[in-house]
Amino acid sequence: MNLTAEIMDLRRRRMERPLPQVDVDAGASVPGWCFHVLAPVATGGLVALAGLHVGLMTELVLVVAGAFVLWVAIRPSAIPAHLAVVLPAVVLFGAPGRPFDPFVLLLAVLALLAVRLAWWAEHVGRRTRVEGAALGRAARRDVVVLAVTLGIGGVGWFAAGFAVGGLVVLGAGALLALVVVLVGASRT
Amino acid sequence: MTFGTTPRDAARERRLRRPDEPVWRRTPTGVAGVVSGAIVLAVGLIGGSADVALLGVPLLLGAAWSGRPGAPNAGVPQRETQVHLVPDDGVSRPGELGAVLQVVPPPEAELVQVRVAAPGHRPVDVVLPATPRDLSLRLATVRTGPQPTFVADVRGYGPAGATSEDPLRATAPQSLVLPATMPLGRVPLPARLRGLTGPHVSRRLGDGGDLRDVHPFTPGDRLRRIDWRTTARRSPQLDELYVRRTYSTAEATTILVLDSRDDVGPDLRTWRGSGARRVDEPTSLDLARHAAASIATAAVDAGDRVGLEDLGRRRRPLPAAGGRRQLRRVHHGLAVSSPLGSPQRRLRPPQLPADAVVYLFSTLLDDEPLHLVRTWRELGHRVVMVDTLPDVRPVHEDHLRIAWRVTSMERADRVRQLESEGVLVVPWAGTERSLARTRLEARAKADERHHSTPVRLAGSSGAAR
Repeated sequence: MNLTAEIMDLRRRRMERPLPQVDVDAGASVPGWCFHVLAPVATGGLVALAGLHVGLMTELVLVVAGAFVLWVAIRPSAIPAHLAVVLPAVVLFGAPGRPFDPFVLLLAVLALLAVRLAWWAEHVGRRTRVEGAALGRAARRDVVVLAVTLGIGGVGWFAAGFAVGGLVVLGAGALLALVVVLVGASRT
Repeated sequence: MTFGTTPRDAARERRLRRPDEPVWRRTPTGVAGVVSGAIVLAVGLIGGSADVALLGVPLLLGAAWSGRPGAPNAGVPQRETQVHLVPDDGVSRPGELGAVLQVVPPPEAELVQVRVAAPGHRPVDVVLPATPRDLSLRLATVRTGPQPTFVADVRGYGPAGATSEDPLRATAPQSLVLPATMPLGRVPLPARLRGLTGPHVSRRLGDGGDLRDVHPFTPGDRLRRIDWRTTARRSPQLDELYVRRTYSTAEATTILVLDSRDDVGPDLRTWRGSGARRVDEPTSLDLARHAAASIATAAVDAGDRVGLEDLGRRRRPLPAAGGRRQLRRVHHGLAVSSPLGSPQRRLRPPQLPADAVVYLFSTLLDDEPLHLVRTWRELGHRVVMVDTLPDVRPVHEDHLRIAWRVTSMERADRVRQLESEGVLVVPWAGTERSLARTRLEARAKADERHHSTPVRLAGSSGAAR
């Protein structure tokens, strides 16, 4: 096939009618591309907010956040999403000390959002239809996790005001969480 | 279009999977959640930063807690999701195939991802809540005959996607799509009718409705046939009786000859068997099935006998018979006909009943139909050729364009030869199909006009007066 025929063939293929689609009787659904748009935004937003909050160089923060946005947009997976949570933790760890920064409550919400949206973006295609009931079922559990997190955060914030040290309370909570992890791992 | 096997099936085939191996596994998301959550929590605790430690809590909790609201102590799913694809016979619209996908996930699962594919169709991905569910599947096709339908891949996910099962596959059985029909009016009949009764008026003397002549009474004539008015006028003394003689009724035999040696679509690039053919474009065999089913229906509705012969297969033809049951047999025979390997050249044309009209459904891509038509016509059969080649789309590849140009010219020559020999050629593709009814009716009327003067049979020499 010569070049002209190649070009004509390519043009014809582009003009060709798309194949018909299988019809599946599902309920009201959300298109998969929503997750592919929201996941990079959440991941980049988490990194950017954490960096800007602790006063890092804006250009550096934007470059790193942009890199995460691109990574998640091109290849959404668990690795960039979880890295995007670890990175703010490291940044906050290196920031000038104070007992408890309430801004971390917002970051915790964003962290869970970024991880969950990245999971959705990884597992659904742009044309996948996510039934509203499925989204609701997953979201209910996420709300519970978030509520527990914010509850622990609230207790930590409250306890941080006392000289006795909220860290003890938070440490107990962490210990509890570790027990949960071990029990869960043994079940799996 | 073929579908590969799932990793689970492949592993089972290679005996890489132990029988007791769990079907649910922890996903990279689950592992990453536990690891990153533990790291962040540890960094916060070691560094004495409660806020840093808090960032690890949602990761750890989300990945490690296998429960959900309403069932906080639910564990990791143990059994695999049960999937069944059941053909749905309740599809109402023609050209539509249906099935029901029954999904029964384990109660501990959170989500189920379903991917439904069908040959010639774009697949659909749907994410559903992990509850027992019957999903209705539909696909539209203009293709007839044996059609592969649905293949569904299903995968269950545990809470937060921390666990998942290996994909499962369910395949729907092949469906046999019977050809649809188009209402036709009168279709050409054989030159000579057969039988002692039927829906058509023959040119023989006998019981019927159409008057042939008035004839003096002879022994054997039935008394109720005496025409008293004519008798009174012609023989006032009643020394001779006159009877009204009628033409007998008879039936016609229609033989459908399907040229199933090839099955080509509008896309020339698929003629060699490579490349997928679209399901929204009928192939030559689909057109042949449709045309043959339409003519068979018209013939059976008119009370005629219909038979079926397949040129592509050496098997016993469906003998001519009438009635709805025979029509169903013809439709089924049409649906199961398909090209089978390299067709052998026939030394003799198929034997057909005498005095039958032959409808040959062919693409006319070779000379074989031409020889058959000529042989049948020499034997006294009336032949109608139905051209079933679809409207071929233009191609840009030089070699294909030249090949098609040569082929189409040869084909046009064959059509011209047939028409010059008095054979009716009825195109059935594209917009020509809508004119087929008119063409067939016009030929039927022309045949009727041609034979409107009854031919006197040798045994009935009594002249009408």
